[in-house]
Amino acid sequence: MSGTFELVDHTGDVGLRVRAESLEGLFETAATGMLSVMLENPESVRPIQRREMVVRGADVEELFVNWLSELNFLFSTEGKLFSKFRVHSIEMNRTALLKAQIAGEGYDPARHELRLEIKAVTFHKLFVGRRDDHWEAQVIFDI
Amino acid sequence: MASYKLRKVTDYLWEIPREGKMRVPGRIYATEDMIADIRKDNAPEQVANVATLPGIQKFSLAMPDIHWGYGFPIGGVAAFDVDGGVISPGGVGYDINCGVRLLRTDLQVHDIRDKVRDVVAALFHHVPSGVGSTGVLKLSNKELEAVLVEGAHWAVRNGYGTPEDLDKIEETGRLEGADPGAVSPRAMERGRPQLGTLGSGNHFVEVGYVEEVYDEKLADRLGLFRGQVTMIVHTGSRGFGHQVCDDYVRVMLKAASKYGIELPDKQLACAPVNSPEGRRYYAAMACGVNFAFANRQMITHWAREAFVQALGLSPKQVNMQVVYEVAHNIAKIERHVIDGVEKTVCVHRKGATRAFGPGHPAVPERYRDIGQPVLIPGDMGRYSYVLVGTQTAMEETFGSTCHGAGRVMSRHQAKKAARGRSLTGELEKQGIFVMASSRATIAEEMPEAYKDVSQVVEAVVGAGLSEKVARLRPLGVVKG
Repeated sequence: MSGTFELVDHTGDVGLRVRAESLEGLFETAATGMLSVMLENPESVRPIQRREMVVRGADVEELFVNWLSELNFLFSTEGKLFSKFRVHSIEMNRTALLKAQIAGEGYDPARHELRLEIKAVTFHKLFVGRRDDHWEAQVIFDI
Repeated sequence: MASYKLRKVTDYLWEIPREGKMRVPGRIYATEDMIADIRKDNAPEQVANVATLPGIQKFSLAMPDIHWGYGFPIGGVAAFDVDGGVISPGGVGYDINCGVRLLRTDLQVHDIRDKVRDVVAALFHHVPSGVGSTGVLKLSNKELEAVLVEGAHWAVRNGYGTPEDLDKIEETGRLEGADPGAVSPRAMERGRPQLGTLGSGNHFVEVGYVEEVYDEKLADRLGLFRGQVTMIVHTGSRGFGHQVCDDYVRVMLKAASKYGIELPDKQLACAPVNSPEGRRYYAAMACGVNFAFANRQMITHWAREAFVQALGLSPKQVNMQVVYEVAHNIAKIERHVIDGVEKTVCVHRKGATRAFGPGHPAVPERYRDIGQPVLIPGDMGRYSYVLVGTQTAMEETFGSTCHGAGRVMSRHQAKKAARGRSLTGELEKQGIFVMASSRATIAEEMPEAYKDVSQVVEAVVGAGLSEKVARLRPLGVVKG
């Protein structure tokens, strides 16, 4: 994974800006970035349980929102946290399709310090696209 | 750069003249002191954007606690004709029916002053709170559906609180028109483990007291007296509401395009109220509304138990009764007089509270002649207010008023400002005891991170939208 991310203040909410060499790397880095919004100590999540994921979207931007929404959904319903992401492929035809392997573990209150609850991944000021020789994304989480 | 004009109408009211694609003017209730800050975060532009939506009536409104939101500004009020006008999830907010319940007791501050710590600890123990908190119930789908249709009524039937609580809740704690069939399986999954939890962020349970009474007669009618111990519950529909909003923003994006509605901002996505999409959103939103009503009813039940346990008193001695409960993220179908004609409209209140005036049939009989009680929570270091609605609010803002104080510091700024300080220590010196699931929450929710709610209240009172009844001060706060 070859990307970088930064968290940005957005009044009462939190934004994420991501940069990576590849589109796949962009999605992986964004997921890592989101984990650091959710936890004070994201490095504490051990990548010991793996699963495959398939996500769809109308276009690459909706795919991006749906990818992050799905990870957030898995936390709020199954209590699962993910720290390692490997996007196998992102296909763009009439709709967008992502296939990835994600690895993590169940939330353990003794080790994982929760930070913020992400209510939703919003479409506000959403951007996913190429800039010069790399990919960039921006997304805002409703906290 | 501001692409709108703002002109003063009165000391408490500013207007954005109708221009370009706006169908009506915008109106922001605020004092001159507040306007400079309001301009800073582009919220007035959002007021102007809302004014472009089809079927909007009279004005695109904003209360003095206005600040930037997703699509609609927070503090926004907009009413749309049900014939041809629209309904929009962004006009309600992600936290559907985030709202506030005020309870009063027969106790005086001096009765509990040296036991506040115990009361807060008991509340913290009894009420599930914090990020990732799950509820104590294991509900089947069928039971969850009953919650979504019956709201606080379901809770009472299942032993949480008493039937007497119900008529002191907006809509008696059950909004008609809820249809679980309009709710996605994802929302059901997110909601199921979270019923009966406080959540985190700015949600709280607060023990306080009546510090000042502004109108003795009104206070007496609400059962309030100086020095009285009170409790406030502030929470919403948790992950359920968030998911419903998320689901329907996507549905509405497609619908807006289908119905040829031009959107200056994607988050204003909407559909005609009477369209299949509009009806389905309303039915799903109503489920979220009822989830929150049930949530607050359950939390009240546990809070009552916590009080009794911590103080070693009987429920009769504490006599904790609901004063009133209001929603501040909701869309309602209401009848209002517009240019002399009574019309049925869909009123969106996002970070705004209903404030019906004296005589309105929707106000509970016991309060009908004085107007609907309104609860305005402040931050955890300062005060909260009890107000009543007015006839002026009915005439000018579709019976609406403000909801609380907005943030002035981002979470990051607040955390920085908190570094090296013991916030709980500072608050304790002021006589306020705070317990939270996460230390970060206390930092991010510090009093300085919020505007002073009294300024917001003075503005709505000055504008005639509400009358002041009492001011409450916190003694102890439980945060997620």
